[in-house]
Amino acid sequence: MKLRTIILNTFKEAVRKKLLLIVIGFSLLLLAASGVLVPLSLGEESKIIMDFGLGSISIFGILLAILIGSQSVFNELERKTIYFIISKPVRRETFIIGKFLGLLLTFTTVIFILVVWFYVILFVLTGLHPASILISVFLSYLEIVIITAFCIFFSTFTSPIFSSLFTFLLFVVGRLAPDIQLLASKTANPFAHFSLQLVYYVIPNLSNFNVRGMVVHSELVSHNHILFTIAYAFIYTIILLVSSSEIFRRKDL
Amino acid sequence: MRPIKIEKLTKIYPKFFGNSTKAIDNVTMSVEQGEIFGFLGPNGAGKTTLLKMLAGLLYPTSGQIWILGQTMHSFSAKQSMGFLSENPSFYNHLSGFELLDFASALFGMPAEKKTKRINALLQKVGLGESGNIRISDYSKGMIQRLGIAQALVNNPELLILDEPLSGLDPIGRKEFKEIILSLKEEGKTVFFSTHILADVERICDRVGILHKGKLLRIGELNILLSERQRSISLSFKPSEHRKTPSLPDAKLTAEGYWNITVNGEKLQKVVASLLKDGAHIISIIPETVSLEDFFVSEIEKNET
Amino acid sequence: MRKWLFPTLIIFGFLVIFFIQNRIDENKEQYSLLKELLYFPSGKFVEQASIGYNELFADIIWLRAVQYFGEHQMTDRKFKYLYHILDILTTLDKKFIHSYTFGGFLLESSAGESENTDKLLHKGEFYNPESWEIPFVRAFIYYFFRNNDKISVLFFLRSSKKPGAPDMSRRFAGFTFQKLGAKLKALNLWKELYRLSNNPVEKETAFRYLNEITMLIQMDSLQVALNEYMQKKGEFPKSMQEMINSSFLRKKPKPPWKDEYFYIDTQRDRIWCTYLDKVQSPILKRMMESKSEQGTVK
Repeated sequence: MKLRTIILNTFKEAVRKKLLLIVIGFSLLLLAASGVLVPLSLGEESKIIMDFGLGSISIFGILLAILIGSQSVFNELERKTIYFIISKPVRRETFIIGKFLGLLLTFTTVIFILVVWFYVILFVLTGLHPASILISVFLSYLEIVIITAFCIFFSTFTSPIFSSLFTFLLFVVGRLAPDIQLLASKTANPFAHFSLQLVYYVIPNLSNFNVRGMVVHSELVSHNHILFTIAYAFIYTIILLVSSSEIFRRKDL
Repeated sequence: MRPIKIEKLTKIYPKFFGNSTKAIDNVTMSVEQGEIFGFLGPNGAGKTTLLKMLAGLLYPTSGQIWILGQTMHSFSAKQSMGFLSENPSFYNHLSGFELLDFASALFGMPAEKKTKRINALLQKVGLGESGNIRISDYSKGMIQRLGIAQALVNNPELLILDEPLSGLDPIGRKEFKEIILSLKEEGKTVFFSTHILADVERICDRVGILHKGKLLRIGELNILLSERQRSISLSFKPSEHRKTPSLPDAKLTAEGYWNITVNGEKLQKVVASLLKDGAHIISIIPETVSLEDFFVSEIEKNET
Repeated sequence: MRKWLFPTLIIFGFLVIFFIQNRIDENKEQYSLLKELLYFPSGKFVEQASIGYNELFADIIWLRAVQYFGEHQMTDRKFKYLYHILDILTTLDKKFIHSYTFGGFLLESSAGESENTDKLLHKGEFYNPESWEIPFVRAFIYYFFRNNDKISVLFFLRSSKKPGAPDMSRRFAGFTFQKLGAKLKALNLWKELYRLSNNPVEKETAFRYLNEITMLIQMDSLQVALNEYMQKKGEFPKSMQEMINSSFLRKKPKPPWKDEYFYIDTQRDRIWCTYLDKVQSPILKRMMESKSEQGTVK
């Protein structure tokens, strides 16, 4: 199927990029480095290693998504490789979705490698292998999915520099979403209150995906939370992809 | 059914500040089945814009386009069409073979005998040995050839090529022209653009001239060229006792003989006059109007 | 028709998002905001991660810390994570003096974590060697909460030697040397704090203590009168009015609160105040205990 072709091509292209290898190598190193901290941790090894591991996987995943994702569509436009595809009987939406899924496939592979490596290190150093780690990583992964969708969205109309900038800003704002809601609840002025509430709901609430703290302190993550968060990620991503397709459909190439 | 039919096509690029540019201005034309059509124009005339609209990459501001009887952007039109953009670039991480494989998949072509088909195509464009080399290592000429190949993957009825001969050395140009002629022999229609006049000579059935978005002339090449009144160049030596000829427009050349250019009607009178004076006529050569002259004069006419 | 399809889809999508987010928020635990902080192993990690925007991050965390304190103050009065937060805060922005002084104050008075208070304030002195505020707060804590005059004097002196230190530091060093009753010292301290503080919570606390100590001092002098009456008359009076009538008391004393009054607790033969019947305060308890040790005000 044509979609599959584009997905695989995007994946191949991303995987053959040197940047990817550098990021993977670096994160593997960092995860291993947490082992160095063991003698300093005075009995708190497991907490520190888990902190480091979950945090690193999250950060590197996001970094990867922003760096590689923001280049993808724009580079095609810039280097005219896009003419090759669009002049053939392929829908424009297929192209966008194909690119998105191709990137996602790439990032999934990277995260998978990191998680396996992390599990190995954790087990070797502390003997623990809690399943709850997977929950935390899964939600971090959903965060990466949304970030990737944003990259695709922005890169349909701006250069990689702005695209990564905007995506990064949205990432920061998205993580601070609860504070915005807090601010909204403490504002007296009804107009400001309404505006802030609106902002709160429109921006991606990335704090939904952060259960690292709970996992590290061995607290249970509720099923409801996981299910609703999955739904949230799904719907938000769909919104972004539909918007990207629409922008791309109308675009003069 | 004509492969390409264009009616009152206009493309305006709006600008926030200043005047918007009219890239294509009310162009109406069509291309006949089985012909090779050369689309001429200086740089910036709008050729690429027009071709991109034909390929479904740009949206017209107004007007209509029909490709193979279908409206623009329709899948079935793209299914039987091959497009090559100007200065093409393809995914550098793939090999030539992989790219053509990718193209086949985009056309939804069956997987059987795929390898055979692709190799045959590579052979046809002269890339038989280079199929497994990464595109990042291809020369300009090789990329151009690959470009033609990917436009032929689906065995299209219509080919739209933007500056297909750019960047090729003389041998490459010759090979390409031969490929285009062979495509015509297969019954295909070829529509290509170029700003190099020599490209259209010999192979085009019809040409069109585009300048500043306007279609200036369109028609068979020799008919267009024959419009201009033929000038005739006459070389002679005046007779011994007349050092200078009686004809006021005659010029002395460096080789020592005289030359005068007359148009066809006056030829008889001048010859008679010279013979009467006893001049020795060296040669009578009709000047062919070069395509270049024709082209330049049309452009200049449009400038005013 | 087709034109409206796209915007409609988007708006519909966001409506769904709105509903989902609401369900997530309802489901979340109350203080999950701050639980995020627990993910950070220490202030050091947060500092590195802030990539240079320390003060900004410190501000954000300060807001959360205040929020955290406020919520717990109103509810369970348990401040399990207060020290952790303050540690991060003061690592991110080492010069944020107020987080040491106010934080230390809360840590000692409301959370009762003396060890952590010392750690925090020691860190504060280390990074802010010129600050008079931090040793002052340490002195205050030793003086008032820990009843340790000897050490508090040292800190008052240390504070008074810092550049820009107010007279207050020296005065209190002086007070501590004098053999005045504990309550007068305390009263003056709280008066000063009330006067000088800009922090509304601090001011409110100071005001409350001010009133309570005033009440205790009044009670002490009332008790003296009561004891004199006992000595002279051989029995305890039945009411305040009796004491006034027999000239042991000039007029009826009024505690600092409008609706409260003093009365004689005939069962235990002591002066009491209705305020004490209503309010439980560890500080008051301590003051009362020290009263029984040291005797009455001299």
